[in-house]
This record gives sequence, C-alpha cells and structure tokens, in this order.
Amino acid sequence: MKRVREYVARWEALLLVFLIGTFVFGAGVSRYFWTASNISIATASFMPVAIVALAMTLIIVTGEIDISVGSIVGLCAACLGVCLERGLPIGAAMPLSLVVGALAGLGNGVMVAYVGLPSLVVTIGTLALYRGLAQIVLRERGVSDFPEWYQNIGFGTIGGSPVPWSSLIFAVLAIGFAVFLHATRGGRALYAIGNNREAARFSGIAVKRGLLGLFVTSGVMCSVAAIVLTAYLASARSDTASGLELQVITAVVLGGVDIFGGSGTMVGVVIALFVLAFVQNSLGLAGVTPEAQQIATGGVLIATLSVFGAARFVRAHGAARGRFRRRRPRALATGGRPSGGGEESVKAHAGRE
Amino acid sequence: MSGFPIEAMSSVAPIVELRGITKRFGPVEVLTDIDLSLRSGRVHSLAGENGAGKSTIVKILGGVHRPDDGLIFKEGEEITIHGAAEAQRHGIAVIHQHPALFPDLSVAENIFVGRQPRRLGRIDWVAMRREARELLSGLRVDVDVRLPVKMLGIAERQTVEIVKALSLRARVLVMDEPTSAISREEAVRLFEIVETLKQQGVAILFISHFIDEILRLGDDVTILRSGRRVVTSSAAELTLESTVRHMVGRTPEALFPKEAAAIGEPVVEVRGLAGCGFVEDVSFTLRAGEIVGFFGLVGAGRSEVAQMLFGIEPPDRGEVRVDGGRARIRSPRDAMRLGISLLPEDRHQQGLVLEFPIRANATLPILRRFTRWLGLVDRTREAEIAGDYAKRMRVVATGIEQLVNALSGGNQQKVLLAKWLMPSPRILILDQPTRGIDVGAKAEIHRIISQLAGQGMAIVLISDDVPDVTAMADRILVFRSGRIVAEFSRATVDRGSMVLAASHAGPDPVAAGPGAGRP
Ligand SMILES: Nc1ncnc2c1ncn2[C@@H]1O[C@H](COP(=O)(O)OP(=O)(O)OP(=O)(O)O)[C@@H](O)[C@H]1O
Ligand SMILES: [Mg+2]
Repeated sequence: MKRVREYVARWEALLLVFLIGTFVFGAGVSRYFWTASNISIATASFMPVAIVALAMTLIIVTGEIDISVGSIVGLCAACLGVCLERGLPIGAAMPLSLVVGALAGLGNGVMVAYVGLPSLVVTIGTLALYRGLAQIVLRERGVSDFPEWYQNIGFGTIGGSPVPWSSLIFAVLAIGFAVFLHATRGGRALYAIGNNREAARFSGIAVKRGLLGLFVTSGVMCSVAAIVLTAYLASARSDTASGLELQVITAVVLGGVDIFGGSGTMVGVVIALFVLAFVQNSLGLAGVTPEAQQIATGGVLIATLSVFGAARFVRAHGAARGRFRRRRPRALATGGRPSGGGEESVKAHAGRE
Repeated sequence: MSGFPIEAMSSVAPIVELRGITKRFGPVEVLTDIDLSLRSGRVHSLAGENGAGKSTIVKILGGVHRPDDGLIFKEGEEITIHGAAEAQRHGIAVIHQHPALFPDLSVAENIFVGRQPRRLGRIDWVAMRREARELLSGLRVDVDVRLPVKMLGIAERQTVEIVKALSLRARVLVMDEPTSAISREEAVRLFEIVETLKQQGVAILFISHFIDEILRLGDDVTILRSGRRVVTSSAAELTLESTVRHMVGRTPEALFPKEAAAIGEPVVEVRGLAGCGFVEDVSFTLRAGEIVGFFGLVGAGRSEVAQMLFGIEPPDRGEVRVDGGRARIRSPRDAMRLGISLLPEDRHQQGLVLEFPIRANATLPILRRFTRWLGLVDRTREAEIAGDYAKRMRVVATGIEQLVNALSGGNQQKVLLAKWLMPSPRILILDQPTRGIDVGAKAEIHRIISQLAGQGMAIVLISDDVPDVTAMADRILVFRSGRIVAEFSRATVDRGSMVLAASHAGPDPVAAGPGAGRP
C-alpha cells in the first residue's frame, strides 16, 4: 500500500515538474509568455477541453471511453447557433443546448449500458452521427452575433483581474467532480466497476444505471463546454471542436488515469490539463502550426500510454498474462481466473478513492 | 528450528533444494530461513495456517518472487529463477489453484500452445491431437482433446495443466491447493495421477488445508508457522493431531459442533425455480435458525440457484416467497433489501476487488450506511467498522489499508466473509465459505455460522466438503444436473448415500419423481 501511495505521489509530483518545465520552456520561447494576458488567454482557450475532461476521467476510471465528445460539443454549439438565428434569446438557448447534450449522452449510455455494446465502437459511431446532425442543422453557416455578456463567459475576465470567467466555471466543476470521485459512495462505485465489474455487480452496485448516468453527465459537460467555447470563439459553426477528443483523452491519460480503468486521480488530470494547455500555448508562441501541435499532442498520448504500459509490464512480470486476465470471456467466470502472478499484479493508484 | 534432520529422510539426492530462503515484502518478513528439498519420485507436502508463507514458497519456485536471502540448488548446482520462463527451463512446473489456461482454445491447443507440431509450415492438427491424447492416456485420463477448455470442470482443467507440464518435461511439479476447488471424489482421481507421476520420477510439492491429504499423499511433510519451518519429517511419523499442533502452535480446537438452534417460521419458500439453462423445478423451504446444506458435484446447479435468489441471474420460471410475501428479486440490490447476502464461490472474479484495500472491500455492499449528505463517505466510521470485522474474522494483515491482492488466499476468504456479514443479513447464502481456509479458521467460521443460526438467521450452506455439510446443516439437499434429487436430515445423513445421490451413478433425477427433494 505504501509503495503504491509513493508511486502515485511520484507521478503527480512528476507532472508538477513537467508543468514547471513547460513554464521554463514557454518563457524561453517568448518574452510574451509570462504576461498576465498570455496566461489568461492560454487558460481560457483550454477550458472547453478541461471541462469535458472532468467527465471523461470518470468514464475512463470505469474502463469505458467516450470518443464522441467533440461531436457532442459541435452539436450543442450548432444548437446554440440555430436558436440564435431563430431569434431565441441566448438565455433560453443555453438550457436547450444542455438538454441536447444530455440526450446525446443518453444515446451513448443506452447503447453501452443496456444494449451492451463496447463504448469504443458506440462512440466512434456517434462521433460521426452527432457531427452529421450538427452539419444538417447549421450547414456551412457560421452564427456570430452573440450578445456581449454571453461572449464574456468565454473570453471575459473577473473584475479587473486576469482570471477568465470560464476558469471559474471549471474550478467549481473540478472541485465537484474531485469530491464526487474521491470522497463519495458513487466515486467508490466507479473504481469498483473499473477494477472488477462482476464483483461490483455482486456487491449490489447498479452498474448499468451508473454507466448510463456517466454518459449523460459527459453529454451535459460537453454542452457546458460548447457554451464556453462558442462564447470564446464568438461564433458557432458545425465543425466547432472537431478533434477535441484527442486533447481530452490525452490529458486524462497523461494525468495518470489507467486507460483500462480502475485507477487514477482528479488532481493528476487537472495538473495534466495545465501542462497540455501551456505546452500548446508555448508551441503556438514559437510559431508551430496547429497541425504540428496536433502531432505533438498525439505523440504525448502514445508516449504516456507506452510509459504506463511498460510500468504495468514490469509489475505484472509478463504482459501476456495481464492482458489475458482483462480480456477473459465470461465463460470462465465460475471457474476462477487464470492465475499465476494475478495476485501480485498490484495496480498503482488503486484504492485511492 | 527443524525437528528432524532432513538428510535422514531419504538418501535420494534432491532435484531442487531451497536453502535458508528469506523473503520480505517491505518491512514484513514472510519467510525466514526456509530449507526444503524436492526429491525424485517423492511427494513433499507443505502445511501451515493461512498466511504462513506456503504460496510465497511456490512463487519463489515459479520465478514470480525472488528471495531476499538464501540459495536455490538444482541437482547440486546453484540457480536463480527469474520469471516463469526460467522456471520452465529448469523443469519446474507450477499448477496454481486457478488453472491458467486459454478458455477458448481446445485441450490439445492448450497443451501445445506456442509450440504446436508443424508440417509444411502449418499446424499439424492431427499430430497435435494424437500427442495430446497419448499424454492424457498416459495418466489414464479420458478427456476429448478437441473440447474448448472452458467446457471443462476445474478438476479436468487441472489435469490438462499437469499434462502440459509433463509435455514440457517438468521434473518438479508444484501444486498450490489443487484440491480446494474440487470435490473430494475428483481429488481421488488427482491422487491417482500423482501416484503415476511419482513412478515416473517426478518430484512433487503439494499444498493443502486438508490434513488427511497432507499425510496420505506426502512422503515428507514440512510444516510452516508464520514463515518459519517448524518441522520437516516423514509423513509416517506425524498424526492428524500432531500436524495441527505444529501448524497452530497449540493443541487444536475440535471441529466446532453445531449448537442446537430453535427453528422458526419459514423465511424463504422457493417453488418450481428454473433457469440458467439447466436448473429445473427446484423447490425448498428455509426457516429461521435453520442451516440447509446444498450438496452436489461441481456444476450440479447449486451456485446457479444461489445466484437466482440473489438477483444475479433472472429465473425463467418459479416463485420465491420471503416472509410469506412474493418477492421480486431482479438485482442484488433487491435481494439485499430483503435481507439476503450471498458469499459467492469465486472470490477473485465475483467476490473481491483485488486492487482495493481490505476496508473498501469489506464495506462495499453497505457503504450507504456510512454516507452523509451528498453521498460523502464517513471514512472514520467506515474504518472503525471494517477494522472490527477484520479482527472478528482474524484476518492476518498489516492493517485494513493493505490491498487485498497482497493477502494470502485464506485471508482473502475471511475478508469476503466479513464483507457479507456486515449487512447483518437475515438470509445468508454461503457458496463454498471455507474454500482455502485453514483448520483453525474453519472451526472459527463454523462457530460463527452456528452462532448466526442461533440468532435466527436462515442459512444456505453450499459446500463440496462433506464434513462441512454434515457437521453444520440441519437438512441437506442433494443437487444433480440442475435438480434436487435427494434430501437428508441431520439424523439420517450418511456420507455414502449422500455422495451416491450426487454422483451420476445415482438414480436418474427425472426418474426420482417430481416429489423428490420436496421438504
Ligand atoms: N505481494 C505481497 N505484498 C505484501 N505482502 C504479501 C504479498 N504477498 C503475500 N504477502 C503476505 O505474505 C504472507 C504469506 O502469504 P502466502 O500467500 O504465502 O500465505 P499462504 O501460506 O499461502 O496462505 P493461504 O493458506 O491463506 O493461502 C501473508 O501474510 C501475506 O499477507
Ligand atoms: Mg496460499
């Protein structure tokens, strides 16, 4: 237990070192980096990703994934745009977009929890489906006459300070999600589901309902992100937030959440979000193109997965065995898991609810 | 430490020998200065309480753990064992309690996985099956080599693992509690196989919590206590009594006799329950204070009935009444609300979250009780109660924050029991509760079960262990092929007819008539 604790502490401490390294790198790239306005912009521009990552953390902890987040954000943004075009006040459009996000998440959740399809496949499907809906709704148009006060959600800062309003929204949500994951019964249930779904079910945890709830939550968070992002960009288009899922999943995995489920902390994810935000910001300042930035993000994702994969390999004394354990079909459920090292494949982070 | 000089026992030079092995996990020393010799054609039995260090020795031989101190010799030469592949190269095969086979591959493929015989670059299926058949018949085992392994029972899977080990020319076979998950009848088959292996000159290390097996099968016996070797002697010089005394360090408690409990009103009435593909027409009544034993072979349908009662599997037909009212149990939550607890048979898959500490495992079903506003968990109270139960169950651990996968098998089982006693159920279904538990702890669990019945709890006890069932149950229902085929009361039960009814040699379940087994 102590070793595991230390390991976790090490990973989060390491992330902090990365963050400082990023700051040093950014300062080296441009004198402009260390200005309040740059920090403020870098933060504000990353808040949509950060908000979606909160729900994604919970989903990945249970061993599922939601690839469709970028498309849900796009769909919600399109919904905001259409409402505005039709003359609906933005104050009414926002709740409507939340409902749309929740419904999109509900669609994913029903397919995963009740139809029993793998979330990866379902959400790849809805990635295309929801983006398609956004395109039907908004076509090639861009809607941009949002009221001033609304734009402030994404771009404005609190009072005279350089702190963006969107970061306040994120901070409140992040605290809520962290408390839920680490201190409540529901959070404990998510770790149980991620580590051993069958034992969770045998313990009276409503696994299906839980998963459904998570995907709906993810949809709602996407729509909050859509509100923030549309306000930040001051325009809504059907291709809003395309490719968002890459950044979100990269941040969650970099934060130390096991991509196979069962472990990880919210603190790690939050630090990782800031690392990514400032890496992208400094690359931007250095004149690196968005395409190259995307390559860098993909690289970070693969590298992190490799590091954790290697760590798991070392811990388990043999990758084949660990893999076999996870992928084992139900048929053996009453016959015992294939063992041999199973008992000591201590998983880092686990039990840190 | 040792009571007898090792050298006196046998003149045969050992194939593998451990000398002065010490193993620590962090600050905890789990093995201290262990000597152990495995000789050709001899069975060395290893006995000890839960957590004594038996599996740790197995894992050192299997290359999973490395000793912190001490030496390993193979035929007089010092070796190190890093990883399973090296153990295999040294001719050491380890059969774990849960066989590690590929469930969807056939028996033949499992035996030859990774080294299938080839012809013209392709797998030669005919040769592979033929060789597999030859190996199996060498042990006089009759299994269809084309069947996928998932269709086999645990006993048959163990046999496949043994055959696989032999085909790798294993000279040392290590078996960690091979008999804990199979019936005693299947164990007899296993012992015949072991006998054959001995004749072929294989050295065997055998672990069990059944003392009679330890003494009957073993030529030599080593007894561990708290990671130390208390005694190594020839089996002939030990008795049941003295073995247990060495294990626990004091005179053993007698197997706990069940106290008479007042049997009250019917709590659960099951009528015509059917489901899970093969369970048919199961009817019985369970009363307050009563212990009903479910006996039968592995796969007779006992666990399936338990899981239907607990809302894991929906039944196809039948009625369940709890306290006279018709119960609709569609999920474990529904069952728990009715006061039902189920201790499932597979502790790794269904019972425990191995990556959680003892505390979080034990409180998982009742976390609701420790939650305050917003669902926040009251960690102090949770730890308090978990600690209480862990102490009551005598879990040996560094504390309630120890991860369950770092516990010995028997201690994991005790955590599982604590987990399902915590909801204070009125109806307790125990599926193999003493699997992998040492003699002392078994007596303790019997005492607890008896006490709970005395308080009016209605208990279903599913067990393969005949003494377990006959000592504890007021009534015994015998299952075969998904039906109840016989019923015995405590007064009328005798081992022979119970086993006969359960086995396929008994009268056909359908011919026994629909009235059979009705209370
Ligand atoms: N990976 C580990 N980390 C820390 N402690 C461990 C680890 N593995 C085993 N232990 C401890 O080592 C001791 C011996 O465990 P071992 O599994 O060898 O016992 P055992 O004799 O096989 O018991 P059982 O009869 O219950 O299977 C136990 O106290 C256990 O908690
Ligand atoms: Mg053991």
